Amino acid sequence: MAQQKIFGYANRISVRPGEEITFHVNCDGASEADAQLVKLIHGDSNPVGPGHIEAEVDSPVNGRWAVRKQFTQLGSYLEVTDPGRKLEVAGSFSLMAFIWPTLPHRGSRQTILGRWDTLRNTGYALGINPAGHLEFWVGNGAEVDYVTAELPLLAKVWYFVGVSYDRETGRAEIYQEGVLNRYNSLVGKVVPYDFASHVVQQFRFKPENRADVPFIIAGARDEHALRGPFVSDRYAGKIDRPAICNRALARAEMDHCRKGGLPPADAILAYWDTSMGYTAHGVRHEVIDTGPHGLNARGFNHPVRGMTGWNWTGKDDCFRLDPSQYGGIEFHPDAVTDCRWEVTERMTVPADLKSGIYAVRLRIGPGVGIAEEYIVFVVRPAKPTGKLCFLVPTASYLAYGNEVLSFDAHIIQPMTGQPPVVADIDVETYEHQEYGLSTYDHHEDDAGVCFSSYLRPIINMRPKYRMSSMNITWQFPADLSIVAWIDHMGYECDFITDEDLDREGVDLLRPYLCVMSGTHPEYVSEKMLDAQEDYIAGGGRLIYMGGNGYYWVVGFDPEAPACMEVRKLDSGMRAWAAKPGEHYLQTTGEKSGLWRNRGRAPQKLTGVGFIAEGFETSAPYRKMPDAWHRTVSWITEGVEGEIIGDSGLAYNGAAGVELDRYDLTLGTPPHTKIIASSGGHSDNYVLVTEELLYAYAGLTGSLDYRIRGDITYFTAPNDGAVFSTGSIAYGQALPAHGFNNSAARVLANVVNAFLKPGRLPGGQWTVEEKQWR
Amino acid sequence: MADDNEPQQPDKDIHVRDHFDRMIRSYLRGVLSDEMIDEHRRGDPGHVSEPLARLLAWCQRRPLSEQYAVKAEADGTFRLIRFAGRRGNLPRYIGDERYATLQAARHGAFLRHVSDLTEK
Repeated sequence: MAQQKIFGYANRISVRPGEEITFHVNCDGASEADAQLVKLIHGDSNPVGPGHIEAEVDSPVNGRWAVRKQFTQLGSYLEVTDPGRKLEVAGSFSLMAFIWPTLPHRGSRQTILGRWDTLRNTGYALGINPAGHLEFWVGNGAEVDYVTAELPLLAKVWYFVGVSYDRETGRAEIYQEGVLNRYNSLVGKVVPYDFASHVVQQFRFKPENRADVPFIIAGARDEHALRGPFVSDRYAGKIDRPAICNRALARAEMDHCRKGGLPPADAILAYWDTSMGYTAHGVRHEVIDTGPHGLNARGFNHPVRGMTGWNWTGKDDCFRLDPSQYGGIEFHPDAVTDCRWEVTERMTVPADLKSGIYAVRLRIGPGVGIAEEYIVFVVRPAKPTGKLCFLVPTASYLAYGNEVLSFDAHIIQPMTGQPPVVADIDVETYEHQEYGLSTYDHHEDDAGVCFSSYLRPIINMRPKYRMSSMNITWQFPADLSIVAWIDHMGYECDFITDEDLDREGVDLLRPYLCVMSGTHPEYVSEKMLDAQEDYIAGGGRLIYMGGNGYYWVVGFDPEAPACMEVRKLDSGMRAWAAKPGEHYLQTTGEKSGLWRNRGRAPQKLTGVGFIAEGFETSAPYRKMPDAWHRTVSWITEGVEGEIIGDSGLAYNGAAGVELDRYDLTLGTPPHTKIIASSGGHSDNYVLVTEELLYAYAGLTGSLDYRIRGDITYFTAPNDGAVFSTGSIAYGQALPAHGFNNSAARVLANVVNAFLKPGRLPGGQWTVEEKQWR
Repeated sequence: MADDNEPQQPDKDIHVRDHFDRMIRSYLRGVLSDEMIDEHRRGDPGHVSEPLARLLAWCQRRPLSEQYAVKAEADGTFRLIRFAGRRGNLPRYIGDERYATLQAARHGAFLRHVSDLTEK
């Protein structure tokens, strides 16, 4: 029997009662699955806590679902909209483009542009052959003719490439010239390589064109009996200003184009000006054809724009300054931002379904491991119902979605200080790599992944999952420890997501007396940040339940809101670094990187900001002198002695994993109080790189006092306030010992105070507070 | 030896890394002791002795294809695996031993590193 496995996703990550959500499922080894709607309460199997908890919910979707194999198109590419089949060229033609190939020696054919049917060998295309040489080929369904450049292409060097093909005479001349300058390529002028190649071949066969084959840039049409049409021969690298002309251009005409000139106007069939369409707010997915037929091209799986082109001179570092230097579009054969599976089932959320985190649980065969799937979604309230709101950090879930650090990242064992603990589901997803990567991974050509979407199964956004490199829950399943505590305490709580906040702003938060974050709300858009700042300034109370929060600048794609973009750059604890000149988000036009580097360090919002990370162990906090101050002593009421959080599901302590500290130089509000602080962490805890000016020995937990998590509190205008835990592990400490522990006690004191309108406890000491210390 | 004009050149950095690794191994073989191995076996998390810290740093910085990891099996036991070090290639099991606890498996991985170090 075939291996049984089931994976799925929903078209929405946040949905209101009365709205429809669709579910998309891919299954091997079964034709039916048992479906059950469940409310998720807790998702960590660590024996220190309560284990996995879910509540089954009556729903019309429960029962047997018909499921089947669904296929995923890997790779980013452009498909030309050509209803009049103008590119079904019957006569002579020329193809050209600037290219910056990243994997010319990948060992498989890569198509740069053309109208090629891989299955039937019909049409024409310009590409790279498996040996890494530029090649042009035509096919008539029976035979294929090729002309190949003599010199192999060098990775990450800009070339102008093309072909002039005369159908009448059969003459095909391939054109390859390097166009590298001091800035645009991996190597410069000092290397003694010859980049040029011009080869003429007399073709015996003429191309035949099938009507149903599209013109594709960075791939070619293929077909499979079960799967149907798909795109193969995917290209890795950048393409800038590809074009097709209606005759065989002379060498001098190609030389003119190599220098940046346009082809003869009367010869252009299509000229995709990849530098067009930029605004101050980014660029859309449609690539404009400035030729006579307006054959615009549409991107699939997010070809990366906002990338430097062949003519980048190193001075203008953003497409907003000179879009003509940003014609580069980068393609990755392993990119996936939308699986585009057919709908398996759909559900209208019942009007009486309480706000919370839900999933459709699917089981086939044994119903465990990869034979069990949870398709997670958040049900937000039809109208605000509670005083408390949990802001589900879905942007951060996307950022980590399907990370494979244990398998591919050499840095991970030195970072975590421990061998990974890999499960069957990790091996399965790594083996097939059908569902795309996280923004912590690299594409096959070593480029960092800058897009992540939920229109694909996300293996680590489910209960029970443990991050293999750290062997603890992370992001979604870790946040369920906070959800379980809220449930245990009996608070009426509404759940909203980052996506909701990005769309609706501060109005979404205003109805609530208190908003709680997740354990690691690291990825934040400007609208999300503005909304939380305005909420606090307007009298709202924020509980920042995490560490390393409010860190990366991200954008949501206005054309595909399920997809988030980030570019990692300059400084910060980062898995990759965007290339020079490619630091701005194509989805919003903003500079990405750290919020700290844009004048909005997290300390300004929460009182604390990222200072260190480490694994293997966590530590408790110890009360600091402020804890006994009469304005804030209520926070630790009921906690005997000095220690807070000496147990937990993340390495047995509340202060750990990623830690934040108070820092007046980065904007911590001056009246902030340090209630408690950890310290004496192991030397696996290291200072974050954005703190470094000069590196020196000993920037580790046992030697540097800055490496600690701070619990802080400050009051804001209009009876607002912010309480911060300064640690990822705090949330996972809550369920320890049946939720009866000092970390949970402190949090309950704060939530209970924040849920009472009006003056906060300790507020009567305001005048004295200003004079204290 | 590739010609200087040939774009496909080997990465000579590996020669320097190998030289550095020989120096580190020589030091580690000099400080390796039964006490150090026993310290790791006890599995006290957090602060470890300096010689053990240096040995662990060497273990963790070895090339990905020389690192070990733990595979959590469906029956609750643990086995050792080694990564391929090549993208998309699956890890393979190392040995047949099944460990009852995660700590025992991690110590098993440590002993593999020690064996690689001493070439015994």
